[in-house]
Amino acid sequence: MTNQVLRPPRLGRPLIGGLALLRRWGPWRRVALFLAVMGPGLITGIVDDDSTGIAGYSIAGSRFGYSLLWTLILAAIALAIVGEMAARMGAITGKGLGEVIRERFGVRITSFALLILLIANIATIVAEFAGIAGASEIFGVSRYIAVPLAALLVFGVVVYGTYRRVEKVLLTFSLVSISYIITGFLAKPDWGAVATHSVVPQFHANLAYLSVLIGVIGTTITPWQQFYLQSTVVDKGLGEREFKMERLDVFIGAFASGTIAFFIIVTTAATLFAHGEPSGTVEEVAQSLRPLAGDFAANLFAIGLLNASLLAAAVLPLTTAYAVCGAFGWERSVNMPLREAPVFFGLFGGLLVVGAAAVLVPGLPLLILLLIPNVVGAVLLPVILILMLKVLNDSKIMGRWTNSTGWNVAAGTVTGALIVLTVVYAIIAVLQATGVVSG
Amino acid sequence: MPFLSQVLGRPTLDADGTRVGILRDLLILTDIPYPPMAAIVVGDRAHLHAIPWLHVASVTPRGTALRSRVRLEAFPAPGDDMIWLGRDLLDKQIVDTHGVKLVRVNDLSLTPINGDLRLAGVDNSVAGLLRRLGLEWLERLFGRGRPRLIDWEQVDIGPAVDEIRLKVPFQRLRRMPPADIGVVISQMSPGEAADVLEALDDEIAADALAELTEEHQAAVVNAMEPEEAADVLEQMAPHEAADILGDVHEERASELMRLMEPHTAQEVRSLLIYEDDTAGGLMNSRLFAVAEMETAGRVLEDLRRTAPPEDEIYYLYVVDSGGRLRGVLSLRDLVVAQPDALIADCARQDVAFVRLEDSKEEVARKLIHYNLLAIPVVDEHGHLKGMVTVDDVLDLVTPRAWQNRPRRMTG
Repeated sequence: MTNQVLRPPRLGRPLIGGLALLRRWGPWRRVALFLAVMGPGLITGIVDDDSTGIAGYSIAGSRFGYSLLWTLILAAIALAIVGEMAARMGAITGKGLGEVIRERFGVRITSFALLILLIANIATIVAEFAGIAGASEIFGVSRYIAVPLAALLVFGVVVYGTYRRVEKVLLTFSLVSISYIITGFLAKPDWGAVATHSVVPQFHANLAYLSVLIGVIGTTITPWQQFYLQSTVVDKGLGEREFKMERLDVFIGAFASGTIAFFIIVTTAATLFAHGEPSGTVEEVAQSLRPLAGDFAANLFAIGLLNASLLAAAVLPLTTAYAVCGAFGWERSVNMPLREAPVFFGLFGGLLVVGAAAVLVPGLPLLILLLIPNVVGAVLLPVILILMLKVLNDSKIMGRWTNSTGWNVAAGTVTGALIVLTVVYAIIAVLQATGVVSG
Repeated sequence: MPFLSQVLGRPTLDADGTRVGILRDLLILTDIPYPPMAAIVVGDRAHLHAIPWLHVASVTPRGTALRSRVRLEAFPAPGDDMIWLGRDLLDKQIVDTHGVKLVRVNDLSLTPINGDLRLAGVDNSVAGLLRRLGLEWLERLFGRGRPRLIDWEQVDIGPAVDEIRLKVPFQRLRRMPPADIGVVISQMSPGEAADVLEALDDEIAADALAELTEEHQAAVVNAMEPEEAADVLEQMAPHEAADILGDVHEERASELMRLMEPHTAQEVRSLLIYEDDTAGGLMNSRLFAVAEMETAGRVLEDLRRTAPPEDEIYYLYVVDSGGRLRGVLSLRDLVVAQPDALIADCARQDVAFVRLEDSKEEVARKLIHYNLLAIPVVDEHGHLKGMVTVDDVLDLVTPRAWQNRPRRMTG
């Protein structure tokens, strides 16, 4: 019936076709499997270095040189321990953190926790849009163009994306974070000093040093991370079988997060601190980098900031809307008509609009606003961590995956330390903002 | 008509008015319609006692009254064989089989009938939430009126309660049409959906799974026990199973194919080499091909004996001895033909077809252009490989608004 010679079908389905070749190489099998699981932990780790994180590290490096590098190891360990627990809870229960809290602790505690989460996240979203505004203005783009554009972009990606597509976009954007590592090398640091300060703890008994020190460790772990990490593990369908791989993903994420922070501190320490130019804001850091490390380095730094802020601006409203709707049983779906998921869309869109608008309204006390995450986080983080620990020790929920004694000790130590740190940090932050103590 | 949240935590008094403890929970057996309370749980945090309903005079928001004087210690600790309304159902997710959705239990409505207290319905409204928070005045302020209740006989508590305590898990859910089950499980996380599918019959589970988005399907299959997943995949059309296996990671895909029945696995494997959105990736390789040298009577007999599913015999495709597509025949043509007539003589030769690597759009265009329910797929030598039905390209031929399926977080 047809004499025409047709091309044979192309090999599709990269996972089946492409990785099948790798299978023959023994160890590559596990690598291939890991690549399929990887994502939630790595993205959480990268998004951890959002605009507030970058601001904190820049200030740490420009004011105190390399002397705070050692804290990053502690911060990364804490991040890994807490992240592992959130991922484990997600893999075993198949439920988001908000849902688990609702089912285990009831309406009152859930409402309290989620209300604070909402407040903390609104403030953080404002901070991300402030980061977008600052970074775009370094490139001479007005914030009145960049910020609405960013909000639209985030809305588009989330509304038209499926989980896997969104994850791919986020992972791709995460790669941009390498710019910080390049900037770090371009800054030509004294690697000997860097190595020493990375492992040798150092204390200065003054309030400014202490407040920056606590800022670096204390702001590393935020409540929304646990919500985000757990829900992405759940929605990827990762369960008991994949958990060991997912744990590796979380650890790599914590390591990546620490590495980025490390290079930001190295960059600012080698340039701004070495030339005695301590900076207050991230935008100042990028501008001061120009004469000290060259245009390329300064631009890379600004791109990193823009990217980190965009990533976090995408992840935060989504996490918030899902956590709230999941816990209260409201329809939550990015693919439903508006009238069928009014709360979800209202929250998601509302958070984006509020976040974007706050940095566009002239005369708004942004600095005070940006303090809110720290203060509110100090209240919420202990609550969330303690609730998590309770669930993780409940064999009715976790089965044989409850915390081991060793892990409880480690997690308990982290929780205790974080509670002390965040509370002290919140107090210092408020004192500084109200002018009682000068920063 | 009290709500559970209004009666829990209130004092329990015996016939003399002596306080025996706090009402902690109410217990039911589930296999009775609108189940009556079977016992109440009274006590402090450490020591709980189950008092059978025959000792209970009334349970109201003011408190619980017993019929006689009792010694609390005489009653045993409550067992796990019954459902605890507060512990097992409150705040958990259940299925509203009437509204076809997953809902969270904000409160439970109780009705006193002839000395019994029966479970009447589920409150998943904001009013229920506010009542739990002690903010009922807020609700009155906005005057939303009475809370909307979901009738107890229309809910399935399967997702909230572990299987052991239900004789037949998902009793009401499994009576829903598979398409509706699909809608319900699409609102669940992959792990939860996997639990439901594992409890259902393989055939129903396969139909329900087919309703999910491709990405969600892969995540659910990934979360299922491998043996159960393989059983369900076997029940699906090979091209649908291939779509799912193409989306799960390679390790799992080969494990599942090992567990599947070898013949089905082979069919699936042969489909896996085609790209997703081509005729080859879309097609069903199971079809009822008719040899041109057969007689109409023999073919009818074969049809009767094998009874293929409806969508595989929209059209009967005619092939020559080498398996090359020669023509098409409708069921009507077959039925009205003389039993000894040769198929080659009653078939139509001008058959529309697509090639393996034709795009999904091209397939849809031809289906619409020729106004067909299905179209055959051939390889470069004209061999009949399968067919694509209009269902497989539905998303290209129906208005977008009809396709909305609820999805989960970003997916």
